[in-house]
Amino acid sequence: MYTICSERIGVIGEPFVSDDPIELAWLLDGGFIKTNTPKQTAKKAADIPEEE
Amino acid sequence: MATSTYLSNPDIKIGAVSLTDNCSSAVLTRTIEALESTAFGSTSRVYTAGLESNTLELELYASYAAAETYATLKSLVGTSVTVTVSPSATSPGTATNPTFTLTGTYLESLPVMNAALGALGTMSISFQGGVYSVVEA
Repeated sequence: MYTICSERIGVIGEPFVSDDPIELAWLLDGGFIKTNTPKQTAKKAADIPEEE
Repeated sequence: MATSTYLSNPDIKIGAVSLTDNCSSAVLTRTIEALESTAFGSTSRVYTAGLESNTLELELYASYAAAETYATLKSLVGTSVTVTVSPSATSPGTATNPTFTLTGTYLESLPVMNAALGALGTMSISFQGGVYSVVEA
């Protein structure tokens, strides 16, 4: 998934969808879109192993 | 006197990228090569349609900032891309504001530096070939 980060191709923050890998590489290289990085959520206390 | 005129303010897109605000001149010419088919006995030359050979010439202001002219064009030299031009950015693709498209048009060269003292840098580029289409409905 990609997000628009230049007004030249659309609304900043909106997702950008394309099936063309060449176009995606071109837009990434030019700084027009960026790759979405999944947000990490904090681990729950119950998931953290207790130290002995 | 002309009854309807047009103050040029076209919308320019190279691929998905709008370069309208960096463009000061755009000339899209549709050409179908003329092949002479004049034969003996003719009294005037006649021609028939050959291959289509379209061009789009753009005059762009140079900018090396992110997502500007150079960033858009640097990777396109030696490749083919789709370009679209409309007389206006408002409601393109209509009868009174047709969208002209060259699909698979080739960018042969890019003047990466064109500087003169006291003048804005510009990049004159020419897209060659490609399949012409127009949306005007």
